[in-house]
Amino acid sequence: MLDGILSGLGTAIMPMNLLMVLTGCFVGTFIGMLPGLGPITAIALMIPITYGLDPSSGLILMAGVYYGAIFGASSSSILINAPGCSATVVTTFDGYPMAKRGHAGKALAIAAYASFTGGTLGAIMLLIAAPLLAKVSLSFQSADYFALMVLGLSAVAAFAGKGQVAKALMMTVLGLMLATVGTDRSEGVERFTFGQMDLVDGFSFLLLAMATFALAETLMSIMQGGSNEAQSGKELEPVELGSMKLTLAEVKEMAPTTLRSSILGFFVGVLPGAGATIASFLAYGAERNIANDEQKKEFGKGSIRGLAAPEAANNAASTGSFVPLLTLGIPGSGTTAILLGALLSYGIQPGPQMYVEYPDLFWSIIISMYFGNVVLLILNLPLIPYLAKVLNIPRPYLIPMILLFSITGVYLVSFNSMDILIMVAVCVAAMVLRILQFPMAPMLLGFILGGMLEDNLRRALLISDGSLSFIWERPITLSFILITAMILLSPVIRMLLVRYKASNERVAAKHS
Amino acid sequence: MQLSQQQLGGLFFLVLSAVYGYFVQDIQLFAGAEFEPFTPRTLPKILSFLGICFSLFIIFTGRRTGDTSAKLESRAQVVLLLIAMLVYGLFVDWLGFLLATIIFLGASFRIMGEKNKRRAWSVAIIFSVLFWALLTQLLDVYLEPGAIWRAFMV
Repeated sequence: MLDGILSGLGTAIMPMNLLMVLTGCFVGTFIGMLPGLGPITAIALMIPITYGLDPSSGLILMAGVYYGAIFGASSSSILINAPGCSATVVTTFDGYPMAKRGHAGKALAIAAYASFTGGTLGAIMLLIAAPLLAKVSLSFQSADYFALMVLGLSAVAAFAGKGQVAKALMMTVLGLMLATVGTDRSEGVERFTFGQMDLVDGFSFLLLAMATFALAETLMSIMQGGSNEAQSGKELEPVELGSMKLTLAEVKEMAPTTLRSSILGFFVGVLPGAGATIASFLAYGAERNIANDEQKKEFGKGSIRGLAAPEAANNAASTGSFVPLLTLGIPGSGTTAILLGALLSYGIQPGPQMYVEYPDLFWSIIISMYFGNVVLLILNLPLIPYLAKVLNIPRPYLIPMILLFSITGVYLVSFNSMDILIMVAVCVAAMVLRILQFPMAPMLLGFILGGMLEDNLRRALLISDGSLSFIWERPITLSFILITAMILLSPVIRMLLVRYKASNERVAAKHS
Repeated sequence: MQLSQQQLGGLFFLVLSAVYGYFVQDIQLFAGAEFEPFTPRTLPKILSFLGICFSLFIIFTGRRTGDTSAKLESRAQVVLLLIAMLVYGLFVDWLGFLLATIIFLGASFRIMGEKNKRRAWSVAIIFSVLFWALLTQLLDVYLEPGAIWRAFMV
């Protein structure tokens, strides 16, 4: 393990890779600050650039973009009350009120220190957890992998939100359906190609990611515009940042919160499907619950704890979400799904074998995550007043440029203008589905996992000679299937319990 | 009966899953493959079945009233931008990357509400030339000249 760490460190401190961390953090912060564009879009826009890099540099760049985007999203949450992504919605609860009271600099500093602590603790926990889990998963067989993928896909759907579970499951199935288009990997027969040569290789992951996220999110931000100053295209007032220095009392107040939220955030991030958004909400809720009455009153009005908790949690969760990706090859969120797609396009299969076969890559990603946190703290924080100028770029110029980067990102990889037309068609479909409130991340996850899921199901069925007994023959497989069943049934059980409780209350009210 | 947005989505997926399931039969199998425990048709059949189940669930549990989708504005702008992208895709091979990009950006700036024509086209030209130079000179990406330029060159 020590050899692997040293080799990873050697890769991570290569000048090219340090430059990638730096660039990634800056670009991510820049894109993340734009309201409506989250880390998924930021990473999707980077994919074409990474094709020309070696795997380590490409993934380090994308990991940097991921962190930078979350950091940038926090900054726009604090400065203009416009969260750049869902993981920083909670940051607006206390960050913006603090900025309105003239302490924007302080709020940004608290967010940056909390994020740094969350990211650092997350990286340390990843350093311990990833190899352990990778060793355990070396004993996994096809049936276990199949069950684990089903669990991952179901969990993403189950965490989609109230009333969204069926829609998210449907989108997962749609992603799996799209993955079946093209040439079958085992027998080489064509499926759903309708004689079109363009479909023989299946849908391009890059095209799908760009069309459903980068393009659709940008166009949706126009349709949903006008809700805040930044989105309405008006010139923003120059932000009065004030001091960025924290007093000892403030540091003392945020330290335990940051520590607790980091640990909570990491474990939530490890769970497939949960991710940074749920981690930030949980951390905020937990801090509010354990606060005394006086501190509770501060929540929502600029509480230091209320700001530090979600920031530490969302960064730790972002790090945590790399655990299932790197050790099991199962992405737990839309963002890590895109990273998985990028790894696959390099011909690298993430999972326990990656830990054995590409130790330098495995460890360099983990180590560079820590570097990313340092870059964000040391370089990006002082530059925030300047980076905030991005919020003043007029939207009539910004939006077309993002659209151009998205379409040329796909075109410059394939040099096939047909791809641009397909992209527009997919984007229109994605926008309609977004308007109908169907989530996009499960679709992308299903699309990326589709091939692997089919391969493992095929192997499991061939080994068991077509019998479904592989589901209950191994305890690991059975455990995953049972957890999946619990996750899928829990909303139904909860709904039945609520109805039962309501009917009981009605009966009680009648009798009284 | 009036369908809610959710039910409309469910209906769309029901049709999609049924059509997908119908075309599963078109997947060619090798002789004797039907006796194998797993064929290229196995997963698509499962997916079609799951798709029908989930879409029916969405249709039957969908709320008939009270859709909460956000109010959408600027639809015309979005439609025009989509058309601009389509035109870009159709003509990029003809006009070449640089000219197509200038036209796309200039038109998009105007669609997005930039009233000053001169400023819109100046920014479009400067940005496109810089982007083209970055790709061709710095990143060494070969961009083929458009078909109309090639015609002049012959």
